[in-house]
Amino acid sequence: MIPIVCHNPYHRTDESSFAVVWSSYRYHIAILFMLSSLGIVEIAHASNTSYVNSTPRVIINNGVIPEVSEPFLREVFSGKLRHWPDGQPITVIVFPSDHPLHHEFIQERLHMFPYQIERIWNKRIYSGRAVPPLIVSSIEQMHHAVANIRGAIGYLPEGVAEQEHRDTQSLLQHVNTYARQGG
Amino acid sequence: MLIIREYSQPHSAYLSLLFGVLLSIYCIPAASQEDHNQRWQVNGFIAQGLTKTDNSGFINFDNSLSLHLTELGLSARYTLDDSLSFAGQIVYLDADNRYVKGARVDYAFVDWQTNLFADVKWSLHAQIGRVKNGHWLYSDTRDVPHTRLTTILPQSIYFDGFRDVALSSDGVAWQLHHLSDKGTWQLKWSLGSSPLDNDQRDRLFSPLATGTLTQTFTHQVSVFFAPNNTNLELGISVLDSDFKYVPGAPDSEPFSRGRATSQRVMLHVQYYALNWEFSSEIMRERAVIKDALFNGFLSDEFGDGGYVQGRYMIDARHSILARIDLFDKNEEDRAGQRLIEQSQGQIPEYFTSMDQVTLGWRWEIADRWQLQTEFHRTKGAGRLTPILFPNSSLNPKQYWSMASIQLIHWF
Repeated sequence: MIPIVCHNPYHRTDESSFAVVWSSYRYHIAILFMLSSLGIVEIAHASNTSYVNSTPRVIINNGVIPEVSEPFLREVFSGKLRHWPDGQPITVIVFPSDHPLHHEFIQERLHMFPYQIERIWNKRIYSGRAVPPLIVSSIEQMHHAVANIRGAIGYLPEGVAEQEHRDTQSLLQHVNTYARQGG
Repeated sequence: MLIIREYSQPHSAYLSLLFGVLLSIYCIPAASQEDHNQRWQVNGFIAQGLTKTDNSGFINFDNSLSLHLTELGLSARYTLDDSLSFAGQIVYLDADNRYVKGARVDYAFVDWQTNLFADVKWSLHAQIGRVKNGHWLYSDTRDVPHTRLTTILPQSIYFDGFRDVALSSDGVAWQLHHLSDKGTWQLKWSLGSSPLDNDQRDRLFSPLATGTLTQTFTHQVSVFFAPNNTNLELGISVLDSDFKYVPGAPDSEPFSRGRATSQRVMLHVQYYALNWEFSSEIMRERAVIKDALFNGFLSDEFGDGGYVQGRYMIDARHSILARIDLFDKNEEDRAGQRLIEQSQGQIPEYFTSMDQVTLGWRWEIADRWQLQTEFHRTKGAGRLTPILFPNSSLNPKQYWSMASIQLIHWF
């Protein structure tokens, strides 16, 4: 049998007044803290929308393009949505997580945060539910990768995207997400 | 080479199967070597840390500085075609008393994903094999150190004693995604059971048991909703699971045949902001034990608990965390008086609850390298093993502390 130390069952020697209050109201305190946090959430959400001015554009290499809304892009660039409407697998191409354009794209286009995206990807990759995105280090590599991989999706700076679009109009679909929202 | 000691029965069979399948896949002729390489994806992680407790057997029996905080993992994924993949991961874990030391097959499943109605607004994702529990915020990667905010997760929800039962199960799972005008919906469902070996029987039931403890099934459903234009996610999940105990040899077995049921309802919330994040999960659970201790024994208790935690990012590399975690094993005995009476004074009242305050600091040293440290101040011992027969000699104080530091690398 396991050795068990006997305690005086009804005598709580270390019961301070704080402990009494905590014991009696700990759930109330926790719920209050939770609600306060949610209140702060709304304030912070309003104050955290000062995104950078540049507007990276989405580039897509696929014959069929759905309505490219912000929720759609969030799902794709989080690795949750993996197929185009025609069944073609989506290959996500991004810049490294510390690249300024990556930060701009995540915050400006997806209205998410780089650490948030990274967490979601890590959880999906290490639970076996996603293949990591393809990472490129330059604008040339981004253009080359999207142009040569069927089903690829990536992003470029605004002016560059327009130029690339003119140069490779037959292959690359250049999408301004806001222009296409709501049809 | 990893030595599989405790998991000699169900897990070694799974390891053999996993390696066999991976080897077979590797030998499949591909159109080209480049094509073959593109279909493979290999990832992994390695983490080593130190832990120290006082007045608790949570980590070790003598409260000495423990080097046993090791987590290793290697995962592979092979894409069979546009919709079908095979994925598996083996892990080696050593966390002293927290759970059984050894190698495990974390997951090994066939993965299938497709759009429904030729519409990206509806997609279905399904797995069959050893599938992960993806219903809670940290459940599917609770052993992957860089995906969680602390080395030791809040025990009210992520009780280490239930780790192997709660992490994954052999069965099927599917997730339905829908992009609506209001936000993104996820409906998740899973059904299966987890293999339990003798060590887990000892932790969940009693070290004196000589029989066989099996999980009959675990059934989970969850719904998550992320409103558009926010970084908020809300969810609700339910769990129903049954266990049965078959006694061993009559001359050495103090227990009788019995059944147990575990049911849980949980609420989840997670919010991301520019410099900080917030998450919380609360639950109410029911534990029913019929017979097992002796014929005619019946225990039917409702417990509850949950945590709230926030992380603030000081700069790109440093962040701090604060968390409050609460747990009561029995809603009708929050003070533990009934526990004392039932045990005839053998088990102190603080084994009926466990409240914890945690402070943590994270330093992202370099790309894919991270140092994580934390301090826990705890009141109570309600989330320590063995569950049915608590060991108060190893946990002599109501208040106890724990500190840990862990270096993590992933690839």
